[in-house]
Amino acid sequence: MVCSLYDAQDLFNLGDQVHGLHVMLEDPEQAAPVKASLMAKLGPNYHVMTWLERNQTIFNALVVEKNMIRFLLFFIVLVAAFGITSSMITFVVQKTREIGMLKALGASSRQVVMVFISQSVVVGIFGVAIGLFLGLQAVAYRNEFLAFMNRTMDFSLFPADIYGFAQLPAVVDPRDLWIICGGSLIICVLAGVFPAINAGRLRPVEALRHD
Amino acid sequence: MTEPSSITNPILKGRGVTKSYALGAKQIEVLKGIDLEIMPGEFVSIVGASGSGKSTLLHLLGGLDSPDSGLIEVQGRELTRMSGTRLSGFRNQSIGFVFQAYHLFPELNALENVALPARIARKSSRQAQACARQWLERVGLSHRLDHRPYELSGGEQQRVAIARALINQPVLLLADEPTGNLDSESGSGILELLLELRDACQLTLLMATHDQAMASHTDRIVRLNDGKIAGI
Repeated sequence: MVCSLYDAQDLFNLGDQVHGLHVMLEDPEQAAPVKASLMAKLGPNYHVMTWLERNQTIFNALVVEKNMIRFLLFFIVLVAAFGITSSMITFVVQKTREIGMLKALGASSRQVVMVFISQSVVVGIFGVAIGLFLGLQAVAYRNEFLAFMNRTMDFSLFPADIYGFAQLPAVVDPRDLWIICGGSLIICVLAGVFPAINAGRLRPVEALRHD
Repeated sequence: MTEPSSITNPILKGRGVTKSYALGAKQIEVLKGIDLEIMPGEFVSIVGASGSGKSTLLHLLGGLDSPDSGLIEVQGRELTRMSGTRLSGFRNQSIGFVFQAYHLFPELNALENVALPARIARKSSRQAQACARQWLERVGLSHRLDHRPYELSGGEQQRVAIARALINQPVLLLADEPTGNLDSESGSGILELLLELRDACQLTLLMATHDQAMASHTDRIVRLNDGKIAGI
């Protein structure tokens, strides 16, 4: 039922009072400090709620989803790290004779280790750069992708009646980017450490005899 | 009157060098107490049948492997007592290796292959490449600087390997069957080059070979038989 404020006040016998007021902010992130300042001004007889508190159930569900996705991504990165380790182990085996020759030419174990760690760093930098580019593209075209998926699958992937949004919202936080890119690079380099140490430990004469 | 120590003292000395390998439960004695001295400037060949321990002896004398017992000295420095890092540095500066299979890096061109030991010794890229260019000119490959190993003939690859072994001006060059993969003409060219470099660089050379004709061009022949020196 939609009616004017005066009719509603009359209907509920409120005089010139109201049950509550909605305050719309330009920046929704400022809800908590605005609530604090309103409560300080209005006193304990008034009840102030932010939009986050009013929709607590759905936001809790979203937090659970976000945490699940975080775990999922962590395991995907872990599997990728194992992939890097296994590629590096294969590479060390393929390059055993060259490692032997490097040592015969006077390269120390540390120098050989650094050659392979440098390779992990280069792979990591390229991987992170490509991943960052593709990730940002995915964020930029997320709604087009959603529409395409909805059309193709004939199924709503992001139902507006559940989430309250017609389109996928996204915030690209530079702090998150640093954590994700830095973390991925560190995992990539660490994945190459074990094969690199193995390469450094090879004895030159055995490495040279390797077929 | 005593002669200068650099002339009287051997540049390479092995005393009671033994080495054995495990083959399953069986222990195979490859070297059974080798005593050997090489004087500065000498060109010595080690000859022997296949499996007589020539390569193993060369690897031990060059610090690529450690003996089970015995003493190995190069320029009065005992290799068996050196730490891994110090031994690597010593190999880089004082010992050059040439192998039958060349062991060039296929991803690098001739210039980069030769420059590698200098880069390992932390010379700048420009310095190392300038030095490598000089050495490649010296071995007659100034026209092959940018060529990858697969674009070079066997003889040319071995010349690149020799230039690489000598770029840091080592006192000792160890060559394991350097002509083993080459035809007789290329092999003779390599031997001539080694003799020429020995004279020009006052190099001490130790070459393992099964080729008696090659060995006959060296100053001294050491015969290995069943892990022991059968004759000098």
